[in-house]
Amino acid sequence: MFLPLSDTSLQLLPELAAFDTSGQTLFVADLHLGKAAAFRDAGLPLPDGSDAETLHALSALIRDLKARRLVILGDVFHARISHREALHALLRDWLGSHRDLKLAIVPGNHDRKIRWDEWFPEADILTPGTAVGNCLLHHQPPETTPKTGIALCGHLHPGISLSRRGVRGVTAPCFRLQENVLTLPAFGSFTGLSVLARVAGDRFFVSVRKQVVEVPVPH
Amino acid sequence: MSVSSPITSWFRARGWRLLPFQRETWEAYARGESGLVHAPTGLGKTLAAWIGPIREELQSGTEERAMRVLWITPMRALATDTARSLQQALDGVGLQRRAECRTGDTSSSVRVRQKRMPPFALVTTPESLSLILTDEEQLPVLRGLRAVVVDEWHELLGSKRGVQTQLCMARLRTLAPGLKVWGLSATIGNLDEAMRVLLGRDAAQGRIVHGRDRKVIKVETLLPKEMETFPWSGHIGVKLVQQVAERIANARTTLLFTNTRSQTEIWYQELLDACPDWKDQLAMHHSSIDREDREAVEQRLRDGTVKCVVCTSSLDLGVDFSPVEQVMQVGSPKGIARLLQRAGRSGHQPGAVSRVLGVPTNALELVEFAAARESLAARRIESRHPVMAPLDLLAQHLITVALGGGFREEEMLAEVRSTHSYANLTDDEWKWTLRFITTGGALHAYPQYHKVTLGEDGVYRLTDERMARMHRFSIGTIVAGASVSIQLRSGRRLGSVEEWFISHIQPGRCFIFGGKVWELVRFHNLVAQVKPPEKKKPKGQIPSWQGGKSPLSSELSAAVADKLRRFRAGEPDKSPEMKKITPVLEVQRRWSIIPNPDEMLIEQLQTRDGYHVYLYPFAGRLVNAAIGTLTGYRIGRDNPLSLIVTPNDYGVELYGTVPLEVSESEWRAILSPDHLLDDVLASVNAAELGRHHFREIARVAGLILTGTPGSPPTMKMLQTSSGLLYDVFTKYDPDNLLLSQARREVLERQLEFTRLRETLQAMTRRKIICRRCERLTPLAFPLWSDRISTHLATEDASTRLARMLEELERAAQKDKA
Repeated sequence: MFLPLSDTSLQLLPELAAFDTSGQTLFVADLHLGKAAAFRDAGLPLPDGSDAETLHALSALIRDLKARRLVILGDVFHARISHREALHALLRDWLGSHRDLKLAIVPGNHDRKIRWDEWFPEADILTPGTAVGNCLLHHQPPETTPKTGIALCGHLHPGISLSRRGVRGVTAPCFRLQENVLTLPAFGSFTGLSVLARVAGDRFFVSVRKQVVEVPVPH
Repeated sequence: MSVSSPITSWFRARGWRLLPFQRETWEAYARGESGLVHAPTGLGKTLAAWIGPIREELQSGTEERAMRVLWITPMRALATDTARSLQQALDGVGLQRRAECRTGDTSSSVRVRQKRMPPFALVTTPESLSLILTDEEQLPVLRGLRAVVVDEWHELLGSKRGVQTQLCMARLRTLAPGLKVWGLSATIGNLDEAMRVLLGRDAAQGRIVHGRDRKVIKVETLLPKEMETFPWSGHIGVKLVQQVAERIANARTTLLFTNTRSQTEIWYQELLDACPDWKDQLAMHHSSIDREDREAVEQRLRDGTVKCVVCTSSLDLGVDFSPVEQVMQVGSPKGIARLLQRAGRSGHQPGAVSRVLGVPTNALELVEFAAARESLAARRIESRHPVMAPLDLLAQHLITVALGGGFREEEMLAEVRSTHSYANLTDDEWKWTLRFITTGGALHAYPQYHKVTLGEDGVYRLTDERMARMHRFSIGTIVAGASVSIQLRSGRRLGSVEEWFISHIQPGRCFIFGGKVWELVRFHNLVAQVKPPEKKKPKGQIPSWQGGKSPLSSELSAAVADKLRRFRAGEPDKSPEMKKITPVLEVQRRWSIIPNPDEMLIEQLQTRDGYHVYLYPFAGRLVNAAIGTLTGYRIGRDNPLSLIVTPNDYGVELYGTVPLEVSESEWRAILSPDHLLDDVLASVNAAELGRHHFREIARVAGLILTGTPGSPPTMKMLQTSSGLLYDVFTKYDPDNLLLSQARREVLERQLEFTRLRETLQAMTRRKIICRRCERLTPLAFPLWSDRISTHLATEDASTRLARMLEELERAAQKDKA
């Protein structure tokens, strides 16, 4: 569905990404690559596979939408890890198969110690608040809402919990629209959810049956 | 015997008589035997087990100060009291030795002193014992042990803590060969098994010592004054609140037990509404209330400064609250042992009578209380069965031992297999668990994963300081729910609720917790900040917590079914409950039948809203639910239809909008025990149930780190939800044995699979009686009225999400119109 705001051509995708049709730009947030490896570093034996799946899902979206540009809204990586060869190889291959893609990254709080030239030599590294079209790019939600355009951010891994009396509730990733600030759900396949409080005025969008729909709010 | 004289003179001085079972225990102990002492609470079990080690020390005549006895208790709140009474006995016989406790509450300075100068006896919990085992320097102390006493073993037996105790016992037997192990247990249905589990490989030489059980337990029921207005269903069960309040007014101190935390909050509010001037004399106790507040309530109980405490199972165990004069049980007692336990909270003194007053919330609970009374008199108490071979706990224990001196594979395997729970551990399971803690558990090893490493000397050790610290911090099997902490602005913690509940409350709105109304200020990062509401007469929602609804036990179900059989046969029954319920049962008899235990009654009926089928297996709500979903699945296999399944402890309703035409022979096939496991797995959403349950396993296996206060930010990056871990394993390492353990445990705990199979096997011998009814019968009515609020969702999460959105959409539309 298109984001229900005037003067935007931003589409919310059921794959938990956003797409700007005018600039053929794909926006995703919070990949958290290398998370399983970071856990293993600390003595928690988690299996590999999530990084490959995340990148695969990203490739599929880029291909299907014929995206020309990809913007990652922070937390590309989960943490610095000790054995980087496997992830390096994975990312080299991935970049190799998207040579025409323009890549821009707004670094996130998890990316603090990342040397970008090592991982993404061609990418634009943006400072928070950089504008692309009428979108202002952030990782963390901006402290004040912008006067014009819309702010895009990630960081929160927003989730919403729905329940009916007597039935176990469902928690699902969601987009949150707070005035003109859109928080994207985490895209990575090994990321968690943080259930958001429902403040009056906030709008939530969830992916259900391959469609994004707005969560109705009873008044 | 000379060493007995200080003991006998001490007994004489206290005016105590030596009981035969105490003597039997000391003598067995003196012969070097191990075993189990069985006697009800308050009858001298402690002394029975304690005098043996004291005599041994007197006899040895040495001045050498060493730790000789470990005393394991299930609750740290009990440890202090226990240590005190052990010390009294030591002083009483003039033995200059110390008994001290060591639990999670023990300060580090005391722990250091205990390490330097170990007391003669150490009172501790299974968790603290595991923690001691991680410390290589303490092994010499443990090698000097003569005896271990496991107090309230029946409380530990059926849980993973019981398995943890078994593993610790095996370790101690290795360290101190010749160790004597004694369990103390209240009455349970399988004392023999309880002893075998505790003693492991030494079980054949074990001895059970029985104390005489003379305790008088009185079960009475608060009878509704008018049966006509008494609800058949359980929902409006607070109707008796006036009568309850009268009883509370007439007693010094009352414990009012309910079955769930929400019920506790509800009854507290109702009592307060009924008697507003009790505000300061009414207290509440449940496991989601913050520990400090709970301890304050416990102290008031001890002091006798509180009139009534509304509580849940959080007060089942624990310190002796002597001032408690009256115990009430609101709603179904659920089990005979449970009612006995709760009754025992009153009349704690030896010789005193324990009383419990049942407060039924629906008509059939009258039968339950009457049946429970008979079963109690005959001491027909439920059994508790040990958990078998949980690999999460084995992984945890292996790391514990790897830290505390390390282990060699062959020896450790033999030690683990010497326990009851792991006696049949397969080589594959062992190898897998060892890989899990060394190379990562998956088929291939991960280069950067180092936890436990195999040294050149063939010993597995854990040497990484950080991982050691993390392990020590997360030892144990008690798993707190994924919960949101409720705090005041000052940071004072009130307790916890579940995330889904709080996320539905908008900031500025109110909810009830711990008996008070709170206004939500904000909810962020699993903390809900609240403040007292500004409004004059605030109203708030009462939270509900998932889980916590236990099924009626097999024993009590059978006792209820037998009561009904005798009623149908016209056997005279003078109990007031049966007299009271007679009109209701007569209606059941007229409109349908009162089913006998060898019959399976199926009622069918059409109402304005649709078609209903009621099955009455009398097998407890979990099994009834499983039978309901199974029936829906097996009927729907040939002719798919949408059914709503609603269970209670007696039966299950299947509700649909098209008629269900099933012949008697078809019912035979539907209720057959054949292909049970496959059909059950296909009929319930086993994957989602497993995901839910994985929390405990992930925590025990050390996959979830509980953040330490003041832990560095890197810790935060390692925190994740168990549901997410479950998904990661399911996707990328589906053969992980912890996943199969989760599925197995879910089958047992959430579906009571063993009981289900037994019920269906017995069903093949039951006569199937199909009745078409004109109206809802007294047995059917509670199910019918429950449907709206408690039906089981068997659809998967995405379908549920879609359905909820549709409902929200409808509600929003209605709002607009």
